[in-house]
Amino acid sequence: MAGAYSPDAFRMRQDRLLVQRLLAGDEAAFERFADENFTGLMRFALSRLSYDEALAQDIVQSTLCTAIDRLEAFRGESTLLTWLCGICHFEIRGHFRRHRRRGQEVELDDQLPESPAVVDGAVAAGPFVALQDKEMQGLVLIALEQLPERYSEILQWKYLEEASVKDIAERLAVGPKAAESKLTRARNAFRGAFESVRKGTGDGGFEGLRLGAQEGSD
Amino acid sequence: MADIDARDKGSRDPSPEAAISESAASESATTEDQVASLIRLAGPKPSVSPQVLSQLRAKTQDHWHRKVARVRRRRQATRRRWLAVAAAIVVAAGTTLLWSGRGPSDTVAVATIARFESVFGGNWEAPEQGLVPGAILTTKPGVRLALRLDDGVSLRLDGASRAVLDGPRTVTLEQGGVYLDTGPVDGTAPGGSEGASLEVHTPFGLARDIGTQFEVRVDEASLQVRVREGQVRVKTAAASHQATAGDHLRVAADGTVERRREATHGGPWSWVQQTAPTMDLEGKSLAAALRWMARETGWRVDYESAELAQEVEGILIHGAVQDLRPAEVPEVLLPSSGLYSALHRGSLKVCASREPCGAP
Repeated sequence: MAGAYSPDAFRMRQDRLLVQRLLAGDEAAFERFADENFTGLMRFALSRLSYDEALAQDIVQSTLCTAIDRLEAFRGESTLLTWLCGICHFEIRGHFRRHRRRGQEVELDDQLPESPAVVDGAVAAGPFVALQDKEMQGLVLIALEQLPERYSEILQWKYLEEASVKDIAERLAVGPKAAESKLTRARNAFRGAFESVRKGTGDGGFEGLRLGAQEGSD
Repeated sequence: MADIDARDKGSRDPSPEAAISESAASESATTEDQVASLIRLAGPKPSVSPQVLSQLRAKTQDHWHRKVARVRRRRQATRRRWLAVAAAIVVAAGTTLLWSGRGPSDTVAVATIARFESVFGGNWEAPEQGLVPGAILTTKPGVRLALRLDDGVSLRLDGASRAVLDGPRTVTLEQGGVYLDTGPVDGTAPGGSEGASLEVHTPFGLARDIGTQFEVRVDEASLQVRVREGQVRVKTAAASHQATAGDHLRVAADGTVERRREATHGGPWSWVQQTAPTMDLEGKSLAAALRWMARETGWRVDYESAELAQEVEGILIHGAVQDLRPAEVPEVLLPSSGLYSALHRGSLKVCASREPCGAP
């Protein structure tokens, strides 16, 4: 759903304005920044760090401080969450590189771009094959975070829990047609959000994301 | 999503660039398969402990405060340097300069762009720093707000709504409904800068007006624009649409547009009338009061004759008419002026005697 007035373009505009207000010291802007991004960022980090909560918290804290320091560099070419996850990606890479230098064992396949993983099925075509499983997972998580909560829930009910339309209708307390309609809208919204996240990061995944003057924190 | 669709076709076709014609059913099934694969790849969303979020928030906020303080100190240092340079230039030019020793103030006042007028149905606390650019307006269900932008535009926010005042003529509506009136306030000086558009940004499109009364409403699936007076241009991802008085446009999330005609009074406009700020009528003409009533109710005022219309301009209102609601004007002010009225299908007829009006 490209175009100046798509929901994703709207979100990017909102994020640009939010960053301006953050730089101006607006407390309400900080509250909004935290409410809209911190949970999604933690989820992204957890998914990349084998759900190690303590490590994810350290990485995310470092990410947020780096992001605050570089706020002026945010151009609004992606959403703020995508930008934050990009910084987080480099923080994670730096962490594992430091551990590798110290001789600690690291699962290279999932974390470093030098060893692309195999992606099967319908997503194997074209540029997707260049992205690792973990990176794709990260992009999907970001896209889901940017949906209205109800849409994200519906998609998880349908594709993770294998809920039928009837089940979904009961959970939503609506009729089957209304549930089908909501499921269709949720799918379309996810497609738009995922495409937007992909555009924001480029075909190179997070490696292609422009973050500002410095890219990594190795 | 054309890119993903093309790539998915490529996985089954030897030549990704080849034109593939498929039935709509199989195309949408492919898209659903792809969405399913991606969602399953991501797996369930990990849960995040509130304690962790709280710790992240506290430390990050601390870091942010330090950065903001650093930026402000840098700005003040820059201002002092410029002032010192200016002073040096003045002294060098031979002028005596009395330097008080006080530097620039620590905070820069940001000009407000709107003032709060009234709240209906509950309480609402205005932001401490006033309604400055970036002010977030949030209402609970049943609570409505009326504001006045600095150039006179009336802005009203419906219950269960959230909007941001981005600038003097830019509003972002994230949820719920907002009504804007950029036209005359009391029938004399117009509110709003003539020729300067007011923009309402929403997730599904942008509504832009010139001299208009209109409502914009957003929910999770659509953008709706109703126009009471004037014209509004609505830009979406796919196209641009013009709406005029009486139009109700609905833009769905998938870009489809429905248009229908509706009355410009009653029904969906009721909440707007209920949130109309009261007008100070003391000393104003009865005609001005009727124009205000017409503006807020959407009713048209028809005078029995041109002479009566002229006469009403000269009738001045005095006395206790505080907190008069727009719809109360005919029954409160006209009888005391010896006039009669009858409302029929949104048209208020004003007469010098009972019979022509068909008034009871």
